[in-house]
Amino acid sequence: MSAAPERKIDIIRRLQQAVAARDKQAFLDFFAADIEYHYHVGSRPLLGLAWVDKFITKYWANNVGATWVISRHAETDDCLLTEGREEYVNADGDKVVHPYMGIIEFKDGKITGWRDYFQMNDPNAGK
Amino acid sequence: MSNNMQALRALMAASKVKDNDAFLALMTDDIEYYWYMHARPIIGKTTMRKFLINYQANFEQRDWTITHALESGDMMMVEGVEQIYDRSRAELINNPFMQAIEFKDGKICKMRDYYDASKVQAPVRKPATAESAA
Repeated sequence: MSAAPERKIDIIRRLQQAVAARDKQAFLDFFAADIEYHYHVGSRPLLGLAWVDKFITKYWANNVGATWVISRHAETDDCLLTEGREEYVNADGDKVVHPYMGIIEFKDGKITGWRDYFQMNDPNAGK
Repeated sequence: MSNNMQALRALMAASKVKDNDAFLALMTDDIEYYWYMHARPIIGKTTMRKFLINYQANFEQRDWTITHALESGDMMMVEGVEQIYDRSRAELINNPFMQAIEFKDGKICKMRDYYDASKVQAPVRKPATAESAA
């Protein structure tokens, strides 16, 4: 008898732990080699693991005090939709709050697609 | 199709023909609508009707497509894209979005829209005339 597959929200909870610990290798291990990552729908997507690696290295270097909260979610066998917020202090010392919704797609236990929707230039940044 | 999805489809159909009465009939009296997550929400049907009239004066929604939708109890999460015509700029805009919709007794009681508003801007203000500036 095989164990029930891990819920998608629980996979992302583990990914959040890697993010909180800024453990880049653990973070990258969640993604498929051909990941298509829209960290912001409206900007150019990151294609492939090497690009995600480059992006997250720069992103983590330019912010501190990050908090990522998932407030609601729904999932199927291969897809997770989330609503929540991310907060951080940017390189200029401004606090940024991004309410967001996102969709994460999975194949064979790895993340193959990720699209986050939010307002990039937060009008409340620095207030 | 779930009852809540039927309600959303009916809302989309009402939007398409600009039937504001049918649109509002699918919402609870205390509807809370975040049309933009960095602005105050619209609360209640009276304000919602004013919002619709103002929105329709400035934009024409030409298409509203759902690409993904998942439900969890009375909450629905949707990904989609809308095509809107900005009347003041004579510009057609593709606006990909996600939306969280909460239902109560078959009606929409809360709705939150997530997108990047850099493409969907406030209407161009007409220059003040001597009469209107007076």
